[in-house]
Amino acid sequence: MLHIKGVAIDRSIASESRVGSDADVLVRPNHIDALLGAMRDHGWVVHSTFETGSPFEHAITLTHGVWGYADVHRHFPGIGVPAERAFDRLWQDRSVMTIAGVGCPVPSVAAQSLILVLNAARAGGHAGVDLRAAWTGASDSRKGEILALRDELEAHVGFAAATGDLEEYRGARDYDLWRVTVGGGTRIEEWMARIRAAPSRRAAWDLVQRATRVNLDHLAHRLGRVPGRADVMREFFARPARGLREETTTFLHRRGWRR
Amino acid sequence: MTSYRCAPAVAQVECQEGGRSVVYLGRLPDGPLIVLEGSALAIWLAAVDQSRPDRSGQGEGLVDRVAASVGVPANAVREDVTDFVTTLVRSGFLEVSEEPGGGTGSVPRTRPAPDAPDLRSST
Repeated sequence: MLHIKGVAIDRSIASESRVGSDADVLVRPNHIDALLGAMRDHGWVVHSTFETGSPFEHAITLTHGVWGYADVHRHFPGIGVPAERAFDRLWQDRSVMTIAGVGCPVPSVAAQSLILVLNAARAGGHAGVDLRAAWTGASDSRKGEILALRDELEAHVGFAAATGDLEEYRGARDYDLWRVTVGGGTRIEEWMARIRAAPSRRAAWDLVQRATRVNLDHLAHRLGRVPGRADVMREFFARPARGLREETTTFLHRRGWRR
Repeated sequence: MTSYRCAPAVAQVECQEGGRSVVYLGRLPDGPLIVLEGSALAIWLAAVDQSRPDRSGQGEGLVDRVAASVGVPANAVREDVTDFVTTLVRSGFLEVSEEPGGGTGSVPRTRPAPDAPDLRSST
């Protein structure tokens, strides 16, 4: 696995003001099951799954009574080539960083910069800090390395979403997903964007089916307990009503109506 | 000669909190995670420092090192230092190295830590 983000970022591109609250690792995709099995054996508990954690379905979040949160990534949002190929490429240029006295493999500095830029598109208020540290403040030679890696890993759309050039990719399959990620949108818009970004018809159909189901992880976190059948039933009927309210509010907001 | 060193499966982070030096020690992979500061930190630093070759050539012991670092007579801290180091060894944070004859060039023999108690409640 490769340690990414947070304290694993090279000092030359790390921002002093960014303090992480979890550990992030990118794992070779065919090692994911073995790692998750080992983590469960050592007391880690799933907090949110790949499917429910984010619209990109890229990471599973686990929590441990001693160590806190860990995000285990099976791919990184924005990287277009297959996950196994992307991991191989990043692994090829890895180095080792000592974190808490333990040697941890990390991607090259150029790869870390690319990851930070892609992350900036989803980072909300921290986007500017990460983008400055990893991209706008980089030397010309470092920018060249980052762009070469972006091309190799087919990360153009996510990269453009972070740098404000997303409109250049209007025709891309994942354009809407990045537009909603950067600019916000209703839950229905997000699901439509996810379905459009699906890599195959089968994946799109799976998403259509999942869109109607209750997100049990989110419901459990909101309730602060394991939801019972009645909770799930209530949520099943509440979601469409909430979605409709969101759509109406957004519709009115976009047309300049204010309460 | 008995000396100590940080156990290999221990992660450690040294930092400043509220102007004070603290060390977080985590025993991998299951914990516990402990935080040392003040006198506990002084003992830890003296213990792991003792595992390095004694440059002074004075044969300065662990208790003497701690006493010197906090500015009190060795007899005043001897029992506390011994107890705490024993606890750190039992809990798997420190390893004991036995160096026959006190030589500094030999490879130390290490003694695995026995079952470790959870230190969280006591630190």
